Amino acid sequence: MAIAPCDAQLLASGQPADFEAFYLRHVDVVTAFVTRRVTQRENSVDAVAETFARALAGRRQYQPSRGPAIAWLLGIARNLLIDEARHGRVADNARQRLGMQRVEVTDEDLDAIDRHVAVSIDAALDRLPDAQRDAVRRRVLLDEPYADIAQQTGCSEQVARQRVHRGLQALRSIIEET
Amino acid sequence: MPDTSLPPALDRVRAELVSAAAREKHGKPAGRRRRRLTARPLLLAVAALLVAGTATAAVVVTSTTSGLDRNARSDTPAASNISGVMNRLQRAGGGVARAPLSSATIKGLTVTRDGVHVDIATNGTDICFAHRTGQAPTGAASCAPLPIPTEAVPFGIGNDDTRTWVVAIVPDGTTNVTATGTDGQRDTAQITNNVAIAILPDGGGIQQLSWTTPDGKNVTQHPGKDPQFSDG
Repeated sequence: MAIAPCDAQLLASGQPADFEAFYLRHVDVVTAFVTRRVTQRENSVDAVAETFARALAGRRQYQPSRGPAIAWLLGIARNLLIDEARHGRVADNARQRLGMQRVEVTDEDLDAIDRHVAVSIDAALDRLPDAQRDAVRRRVLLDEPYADIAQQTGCSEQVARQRVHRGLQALRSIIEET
Repeated sequence: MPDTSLPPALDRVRAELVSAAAREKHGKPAGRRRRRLTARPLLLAVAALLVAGTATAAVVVTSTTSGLDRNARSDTPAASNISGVMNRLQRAGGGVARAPLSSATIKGLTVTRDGVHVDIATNGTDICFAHRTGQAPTGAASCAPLPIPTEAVPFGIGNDDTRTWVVAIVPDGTTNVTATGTDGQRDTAQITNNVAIAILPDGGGIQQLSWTTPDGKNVTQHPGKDPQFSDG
């Protein structure tokens, strides 16, 4: 049985097909994440596109030792959403640098996306074991350092990292299977 | 085309990303924004060089940049230009974590060849550089940890409508820094204060950058690939 390349391999290869695989692997989670948080519904596709554009532009700066790629992606998305909440629109710096066209969306497009990501991140999180759910929430949603998570949950930093890593892997599987 | 089973809008995003990745791979600027995107290869170089700093650790030769060290000053426009570029890059980079030059005193200088200005700044731990043809920085910078490996020098590529340039930061004793364009044209760089600038006409792509290390080894670097070595 063929072993799928890991995220770090997909990001490092420089091959368009590998980045496409990376996108397909994570787009559902990222979309579920942003669609629940954008202040204006029509901004969700912009947020997804800019998140992955920034990932493409900075793909070699991804460091697996700092956590799984999905956490890195959601970190990018979260920063974009903070900016979107302030300005009412999604920044397009990376898309401009990469020469990407803006994807225009209709209400039908947005309805299709809503149906596609009917399972929200929160609902998926609820299916995780308590320790993993707490670690993922703290690290990914609240951006707490691993050291703080470890201290507040009474475990080692290594265990905190493992919980986030396994939680995010499980989260992705839950969304993919739905 | 793969069966993505994505909603149409997300599939259109996929197509845009794949096209952008293909342009990145081939080092081609996006046509409709050509001038603004001259910094794009630099962004790739940022990542490539930060990686190169660790990937080539086994062959790192501790190298000095005496001309740069001697002449860099903290009160030059280069230092503030680079700081501004780095701040913008951090903001634009979102989740990009690494923040070179984020601490300590930053010293810089500017090297110019035929209207291509290279701003360099270092805090003694990292070195960053950006290039421009006008007064304003382009909005991107390349960075690498110090010391610079003699066999993996940091470099960046820029272009405008009439020419393409390659900027490299080279350790003392580096010679024969030569850029070769995709059309076969070559230019041997002028090196000043450890900054090498090679300029090719026509604004085309760069096929390779080559140089001779202080100990006589010839190195050829193809953008986006690992360097290749041969004894001189």
